[in-house]
Amino acid sequence: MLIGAQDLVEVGPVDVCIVGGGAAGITLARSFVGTRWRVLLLESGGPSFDARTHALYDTPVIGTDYPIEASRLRYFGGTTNHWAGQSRPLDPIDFEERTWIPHSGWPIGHGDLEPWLDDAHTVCGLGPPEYDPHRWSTTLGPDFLTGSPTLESRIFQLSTPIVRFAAAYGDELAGADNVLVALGANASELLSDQRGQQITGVRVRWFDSDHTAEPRALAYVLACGAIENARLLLASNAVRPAGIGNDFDNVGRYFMEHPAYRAQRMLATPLFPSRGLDWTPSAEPDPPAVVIRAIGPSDAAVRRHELLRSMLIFYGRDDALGDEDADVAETEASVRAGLWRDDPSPTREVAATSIFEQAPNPDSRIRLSEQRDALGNRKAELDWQLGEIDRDSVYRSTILIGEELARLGLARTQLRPWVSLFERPLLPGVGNHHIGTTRMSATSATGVVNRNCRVHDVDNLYVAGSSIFPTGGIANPTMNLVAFALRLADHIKQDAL
Amino acid sequence: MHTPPLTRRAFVRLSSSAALIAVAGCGGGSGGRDGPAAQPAPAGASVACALRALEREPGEVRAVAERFLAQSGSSADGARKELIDALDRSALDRHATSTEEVAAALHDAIDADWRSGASVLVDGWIVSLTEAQLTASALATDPASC
Repeated sequence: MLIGAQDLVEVGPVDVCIVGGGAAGITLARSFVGTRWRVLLLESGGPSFDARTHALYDTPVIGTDYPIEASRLRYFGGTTNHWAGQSRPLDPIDFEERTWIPHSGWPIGHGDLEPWLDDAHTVCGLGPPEYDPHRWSTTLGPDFLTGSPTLESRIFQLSTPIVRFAAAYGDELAGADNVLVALGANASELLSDQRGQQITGVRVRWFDSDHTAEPRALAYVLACGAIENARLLLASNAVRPAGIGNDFDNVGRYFMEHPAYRAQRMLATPLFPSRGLDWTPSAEPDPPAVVIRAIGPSDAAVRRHELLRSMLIFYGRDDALGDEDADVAETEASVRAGLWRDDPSPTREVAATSIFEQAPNPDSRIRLSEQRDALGNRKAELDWQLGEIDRDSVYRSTILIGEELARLGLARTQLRPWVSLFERPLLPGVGNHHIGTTRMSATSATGVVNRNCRVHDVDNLYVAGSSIFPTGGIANPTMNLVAFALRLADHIKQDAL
Repeated sequence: MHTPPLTRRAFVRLSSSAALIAVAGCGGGSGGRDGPAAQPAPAGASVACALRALEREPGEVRAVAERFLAQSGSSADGARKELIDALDRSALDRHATSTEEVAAALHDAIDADWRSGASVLVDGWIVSLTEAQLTASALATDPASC
C-alpha cells in the first residue's frame, strides 16, 4: 500500500523499517512480500522527480571536485531512475586483503555472496551470471587476449530494457498487504535507547508541516545511498555525540568512486579487433543477454605489479586532444610508420578510457555540514580524496597495458602529459558510484557493519547498499548491492525477527 | 635487456625538461640504410655489421635518438655497444651472422622488453628499450668493420 508521510502517525509498529526506496530498499521490501512480516518503506520523494525534494540532496563538496548533483535521484526508485544498467559481479580478488592496498579486504569472501547472484541478475533484468569471455564469443568475437600473461577481457552485461525499480516493482509493493510504502517521508534521525545499542524509532519529517512521525520496528535498514546512510548515522547524535555506530570514527570515511581517466592515446593496428571492443552493446539470443567487453590487467598482473584494479574501455571519438598534442605530430607519424619493422603499423586512433578501482582512504569522507536543508537537517559534506597510490596505479597500469598491447601488435600507446609529468592533481571523471562510508569489517574498530550488514554494537540496525563495500573493485555496484540486499533480507528473516 | 632501465618516473622527469622532438622508427619497410632488412649480410659479418643493415638513416632517427641519449646519459656508441652486447648474449654468433638472425634476435629482445617492462617514454610514447637503443645506434660514429 502507498501512503503519504503524514499518514505515518497512524501506523503502528512494524517488523522491518527500510529507509530509502532505491535499488536496495525496493529489493529488500520485495523480499518480504507475502510473508508474515510487516514492512514499512520510507521514501523521501514521490512517484516522480520533484526539484524541492531533490534539493534535499544538496551536498557541499570540499575536496576533489565532484559532480555530485548529477549522481543521484531522490524519488521512488532512487538512482535506478537514471542508472545505465551496466553490471558485473565483484570478483573474488575484490574481497581479498591485498597487502599493497591499505585497508583492503572484506570479512567475507566472494562465495558468501554468490548464492544471491542469480536472483540479483533476474531482479536487474540481466542474463545469467556468466562472464567467461569465451561464453560470449559468438557475440563479441574470439577472446583475443587468451594466453596473455598481463591482460584479460572483462565482460559486462547491460540491463535490457533498463530496469527502473519503481516502475518495475512499485505496483507489486503497492499491492502487497504486508508492505507500506510511505512517500514524501524524510528520515531525519534515528532514535535509540540510552546506550545507543537499540534503535527505537525513526524521526520522519515532510514538507509544509511542523509535525513529525516516529515509526517503530523490530529491525531497521538504512538503504538511502552511501552519502545519506552516513549522514543519517552521523546526524543521529542525541545519545552518542559522534553518531550511531561511530565509536571508532569510521562512519563516513573511505568514500570511494570509480575514477575514469583519459590517460592515453592509442593507435590501433589492423590486428586490433574490429568488433566486440567498441562499447556497443551486443545482443546474445541464447540465453538472452546484452553484453559488452572491456580489457584490463589480469588478477595475476595486478598481484605481480601490486596495482589497483582497472579496465580500459573503447568508445566514442577521441575529442580530448588539445594543443599539447600538436607539437608531437611528427612523433605520431613515426609511430604510425611502425617502430620496429616486424610490427604492424598503426592505422587508426581508438578512444580509450581507463576506469580504476579507488584505494580505500580514510581521509576521503562524508561529514556533517554546518549548513541545513529545507527541513532543518544538517547536510552532508563530501571531501573526496585520491591518494598517491591512486596516481601511481594510473601511471603504472597505463604503461603496463600499453606494453602488452604493443607486444601483441595491437596498438601503440602515448601517455597523456598529465599522466607522465606528475604535476597535476588527479581530476578524473567519475562513474557516479558512491562506495564506502559504512564499510563492512570484522570488528567495530575497523568498520561500521559486520559480515551480516548489521551496525557493530547496535542490535537491530542494518545497512544496505554499496556504502558497506570496503573496496569497490571495477564492477558497477547496483547489481552487487541488490545481491547483498537479498542476502540481508534472508538474514533478517532467519535471525533478526 | 642488460642495460639497467631508468626508473620510469626518473625517465619521465628527464623527458619533461627536454624540447619536444620527433621519434623516428627503426624499420617500417622503407628507408633502411642498406635497403630491405632481410638482405643477408656477407658471410662472416659481425653482429655489428648485420645490425648496421637494420638501422635507419641517422637523419630519420636523430631526434628520438638524441632524446633517448639525453635521457639515458649514454652516448650513441655506448648505446650501440650495449645493444650488440645484448644481442651477443642472446647466443648469436658474432662472426657469422645474417641480418635475419639479428632481426630475429632484435624481435625477441623487444618482446622480452615488453614482457619485463623495459620500456621508456619518448614524447609520452611507450617505446621498448631495445627499440630506443636501435634508434640511438644509428648515430654511432663507429661504423664497425663492415
